[in-house]
Amino acid sequence: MALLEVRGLRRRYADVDVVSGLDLDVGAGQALALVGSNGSGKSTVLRCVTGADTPTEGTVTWDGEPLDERKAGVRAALATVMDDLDHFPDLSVVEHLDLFARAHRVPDAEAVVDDVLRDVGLVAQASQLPGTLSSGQRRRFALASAFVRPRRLLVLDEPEQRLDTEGVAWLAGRLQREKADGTAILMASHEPALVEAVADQVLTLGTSR
Amino acid sequence: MAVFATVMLGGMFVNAVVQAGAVTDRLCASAACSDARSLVPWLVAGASLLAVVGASRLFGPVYVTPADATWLVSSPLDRAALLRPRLARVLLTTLLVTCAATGVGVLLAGASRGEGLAFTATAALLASVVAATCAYAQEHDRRSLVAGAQWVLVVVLWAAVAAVAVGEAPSVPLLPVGGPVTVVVVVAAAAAAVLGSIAAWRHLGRLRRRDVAGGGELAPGLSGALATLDLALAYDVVLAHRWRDRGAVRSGRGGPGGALALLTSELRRLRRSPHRLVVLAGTVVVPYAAAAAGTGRFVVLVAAAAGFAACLPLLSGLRVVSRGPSVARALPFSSALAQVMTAALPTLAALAYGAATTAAMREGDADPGAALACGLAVGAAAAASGVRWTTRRPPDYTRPLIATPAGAVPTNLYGSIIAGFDVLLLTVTPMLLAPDVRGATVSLLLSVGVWAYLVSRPPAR
Repeated sequence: MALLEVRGLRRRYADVDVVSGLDLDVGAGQALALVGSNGSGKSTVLRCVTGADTPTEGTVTWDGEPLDERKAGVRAALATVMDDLDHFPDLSVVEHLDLFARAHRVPDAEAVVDDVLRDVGLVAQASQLPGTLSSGQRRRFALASAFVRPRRLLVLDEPEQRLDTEGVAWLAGRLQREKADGTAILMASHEPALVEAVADQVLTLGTSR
Repeated sequence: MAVFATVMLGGMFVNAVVQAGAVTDRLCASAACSDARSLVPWLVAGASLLAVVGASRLFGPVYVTPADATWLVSSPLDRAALLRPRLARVLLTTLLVTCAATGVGVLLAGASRGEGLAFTATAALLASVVAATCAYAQEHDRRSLVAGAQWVLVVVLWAAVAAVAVGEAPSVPLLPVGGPVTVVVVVAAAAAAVLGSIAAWRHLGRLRRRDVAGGGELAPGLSGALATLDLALAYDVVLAHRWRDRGAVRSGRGGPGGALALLTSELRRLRRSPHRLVVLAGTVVVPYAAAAAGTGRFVVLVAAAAGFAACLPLLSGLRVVSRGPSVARALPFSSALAQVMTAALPTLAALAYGAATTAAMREGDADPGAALACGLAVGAAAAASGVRWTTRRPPDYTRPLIATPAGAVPTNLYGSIIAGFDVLLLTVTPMLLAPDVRGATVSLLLSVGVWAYLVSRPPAR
């Protein structure tokens, strides 16, 4: 059974349908990649799924229930890496990750945070304030924020953005491990190598232009 | 057109200030009020100097736009020649703004024309000296001196307000008119301004690119926020700039799990910037000074307004979880709970502030119970107003726009600038009408209701 089901999704801005009649299913341990040109609606779909936007029509269900991102259970299960990452200006990278891990009551949070920092390659930047990170490091920080907490569904909007070639290869490996651990993945990507390495299904969205 | 509008609006403003001075003449009859009033020009002049130092720390004071920093500063041009017009602009702006602010203080204090002119000119010239000194000290290794000067000014101003609060305000005259002392003081201030400007002028060529680029990076963000009248966003920009300058911190880890992790995090942030709490505690003297100056039942308004302003820096955590969905989405509990956790400490601090103002509420032989109730209601009003200011929605350009001479304006643009002040007025009014337990209870209930509603709203999208 699919964990995430989207049926008849439509999002209209003014008199333009950015997305129309979209159906998709993602089950545990599966990855679905949305691909398409700029403006084809990839991010809009992800925003509707994560509750950051409201569909004009259609349903999004999680575990058989309408997905309501305000519910604690949904938030506990749904980890996102979107473009709207915000942070406390005076908390360091490691303090943010510590906060997220402890808020999710992760056992042995300190060790988990250290592991994730090593994994994303931000050990040297642990005590830096997020505002001082480079754009690539900020992307790694966003990924770390998602990996430091429990998750059943990962929603990633162009996670390869601003990562170097090695970073993309690392990300592909990491997402494969996520799948092996049973996490469902819904992602939008412009990186064919990442899509090929991770995705079980690929959905190509049409351009609105 | 612009000149005409400036002259007309300026004339109206000066007229209003003169009228306010005349009204104060009639109402301020007691010795305590007269002494406090004589301090107003000094306080305004001191606050102007503080503003000059604050703005200089933020912007440089000499700065260049990002484009200039990229193309001109890094090219083999005479850097001093590039920066001289900017320094001149800084000095002139400082002179004019301090002149206007101190002039208002002098008019409110009811000083004579000659006395007021001499004092205003001296204050404006001294402000230019301060701006020139800040420009001279703009290299990073001398910035700590400017920061130290800022704190000295804060302490001096606070001591002056505290002196009014305890009824020990000295009756401080302005400069005596026509005497040799006045001439010496004004000429000395002018000489210092000229010498300071020359020193800063000659030093400009030694400024490094990083010294002048930082303020330029801040200015576009700040002007963008102010163009949409979004003061909370402007504060975000300043805060982000300050912390980016600092770069790194000694990280702290550990603590309880669940929603309490957010509270621990807020405690950690408070320990990192304890001056925010010190400022709130120091603000307690303001309502006492207002009471000593004989403002009567308006003490509650002054106390709540001062508490509201002093609370805002404490609410920066609430701002982060309410200005967008990103942080709240990463936490496994409702946005409302996240907002409650980040608003809890500032609210407790505001209530403590309110309780500390209790004695200032005891006008005449007022009931101590009523004074305590008013104090707590003042704290709650300050907290509710602060939460309103912090969680206000940005201008929504998807709404219908109104055509104005300034262009198309979203319907919530002007409303958003009064956010915070609206709740302040709403919650204080019952106490202004009935400064007793009943009025305080109604005010408290209003504040609690507003606070609860605001923190339960989902974050802005």
